[in-house]
Amino acid sequence: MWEKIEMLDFKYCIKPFISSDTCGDSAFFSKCKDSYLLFIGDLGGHSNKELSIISSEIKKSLEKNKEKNIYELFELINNLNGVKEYGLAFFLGRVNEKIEILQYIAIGNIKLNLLRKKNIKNLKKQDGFLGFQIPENIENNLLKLKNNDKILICTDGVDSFKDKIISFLSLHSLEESVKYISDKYSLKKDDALVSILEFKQKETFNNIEIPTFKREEIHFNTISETAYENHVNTEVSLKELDKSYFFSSIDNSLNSREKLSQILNYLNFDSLKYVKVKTIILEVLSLSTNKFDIYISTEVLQIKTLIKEVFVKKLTPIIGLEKHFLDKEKNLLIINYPLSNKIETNSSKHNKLKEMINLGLDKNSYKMYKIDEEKNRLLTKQSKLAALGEMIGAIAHQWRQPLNELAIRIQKIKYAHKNNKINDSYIKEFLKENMMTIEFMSNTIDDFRNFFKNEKQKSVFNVRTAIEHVIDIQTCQLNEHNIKITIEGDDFDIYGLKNEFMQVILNLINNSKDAFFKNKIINPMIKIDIRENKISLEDNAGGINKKDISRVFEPYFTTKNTDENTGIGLYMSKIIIEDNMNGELKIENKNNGIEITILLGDIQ
Amino acid sequence: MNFQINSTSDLKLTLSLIKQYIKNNISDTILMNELLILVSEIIYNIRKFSQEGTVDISIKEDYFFIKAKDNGKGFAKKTEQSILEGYSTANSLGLGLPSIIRICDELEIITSNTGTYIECGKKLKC
Repeated sequence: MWEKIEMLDFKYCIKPFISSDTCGDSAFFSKCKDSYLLFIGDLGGHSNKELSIISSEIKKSLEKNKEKNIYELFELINNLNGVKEYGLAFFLGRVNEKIEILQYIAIGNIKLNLLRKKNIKNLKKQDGFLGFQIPENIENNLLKLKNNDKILICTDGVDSFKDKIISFLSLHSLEESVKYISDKYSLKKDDALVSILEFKQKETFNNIEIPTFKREEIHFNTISETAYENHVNTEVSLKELDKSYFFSSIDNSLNSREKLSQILNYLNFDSLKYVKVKTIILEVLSLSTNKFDIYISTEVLQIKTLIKEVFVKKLTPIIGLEKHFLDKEKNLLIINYPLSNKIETNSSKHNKLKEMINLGLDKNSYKMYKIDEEKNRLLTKQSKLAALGEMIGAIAHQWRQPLNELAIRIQKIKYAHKNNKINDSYIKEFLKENMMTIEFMSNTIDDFRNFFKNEKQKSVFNVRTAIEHVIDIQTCQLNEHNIKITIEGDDFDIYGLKNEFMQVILNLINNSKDAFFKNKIINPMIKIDIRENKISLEDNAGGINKKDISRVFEPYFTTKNTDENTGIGLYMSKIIIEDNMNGELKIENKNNGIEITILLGDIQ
Repeated sequence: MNFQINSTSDLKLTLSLIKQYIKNNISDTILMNELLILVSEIIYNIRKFSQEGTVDISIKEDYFFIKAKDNGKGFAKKTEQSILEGYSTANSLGLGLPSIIRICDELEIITSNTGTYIECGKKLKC
């Protein structure tokens, strides 16, 4: 292990204005546990006994607290009464024994220079004066030191020497150099302090460890390859958690990283475990493109991914001693993390969080999403009720005539009986006619009932047949208004929700029917054309007003006046076609009416 | 080359652009990797600790310079710990700053509670 041995030397020389016990300039250099602390101060004024007392105070405070951070030392000094009274310009710095960095705070009129390789450069410091004008933000500076660097720190009682001293310094010792500068450049009108900090570095080969921040919990586990073999091929194999515990998937995308953070925060992992899990997942993802599946049971977090054995071996140092198992046949890596708190996987809190994380939403967006979802659900319910209302109207309408027929025939019995017409053939005829009527009424109920079943299962169905079915149900109404309906074209099957599709067609036909009535159209006609994946419905009902046509798909928008018209029909139809069936629903004015086009996607 | 880093920046893209730039100017792979680590550590530190920052990269007279500035909280109160390995305030491994110190030849950092400015130089030829 290459070690850099640092050697710091510090020499200084003070020329007080009058005497050393009235001098406001001071220097303090001390070895601490792992570092060297350096302080140079210039109290405001000179020829004052107080100043040297305050300087001693500062040095005492530094000596007492020298292991503290520079920032804390600065605060201590800043709070001394003497400093507040007279003001202080200062340099406070530290060099760690083994890291070649000079860290310092320097405020005020102190001359700060770096002499490196025959070049003099000003080092950064802040303007101000402790006690009078403290900078708002205290800057801490870090400077990487190089072998033979010399830091020159002088108080303002020393005139600037620029680069005139370079040659002298390169040929003389530190002590001589300090004396030289002091003799030649100290101004007679003030206390003057000249100091030089010299940094030397030697590289040697040594078995020394790198200084680290003592964090007890980190164990660096190194597992040799044989140990790995033993570790992974143990009899104890990890069982995959049941699919119902699946929570989410993590892949290489940016969103996934957010997801992962959300999940680990939810599980309340302490920062160390958090980093470990995150590191493993991200390292694996950088090696392979497969995603990680995250399973959460009441007591365990299980992460799974497909990954080749050769990669798992590379990752052993990172996975360490976590319980993990590689199914070599399936190339499946499973790692289990026991949870510190039990998770209720059935609670609504858990499921809501799962939905939120998988949608990639934050708390607020998720709230809005749920509100929207509820709104849509209510809207669907309303629309169904409205459609139901329409259907009940249709049933009533469909039954009115048959009921009349039944009533008439039943009443006729009285007269038939009076006139002795009731015989076997009369009874036979009577039964036949009435049963037919009753069957017709019964079929109506079945038709409507099937129509209304809440269908969640998609199926393959024939479009033409479905449309014809709807027309059948509507026959009485259509005939009453003399509406001619034709179906033309090819035919095709689609995969979707049959009943919902039929609801859409019903809605469209009803809309046309209402328009025919409102506009008193003489020869009402609906033409339905079926092509591959495209259904169009044309009518001659007079079309829609230009100002309204862009709004017809809005919920609650209606151009009809009657109370029954809720304005939900086209909105729901659009949702059914576009969201549930991945299609498109368009409406345009054409000729004397409108043309509605339904485009349907391929079978999925 | 100048970059803005903020919470929505695509760091992967930024780093690959920088990699290209470095590749075009340097053929030594070890050196190139060191520079990438340097740049990557600095950029990720900006992202981790501050809302936004800027990074400036240049190659002048055999020296690779990177100057970065952010408006985070800085580490003025904890400089002694921050240069040690294993110290992290952001739940990470704490190897960033020590690595930067090791890799670069010249390094100056000014940090205060309004942000951090870092200037690194690395010699390109031995």
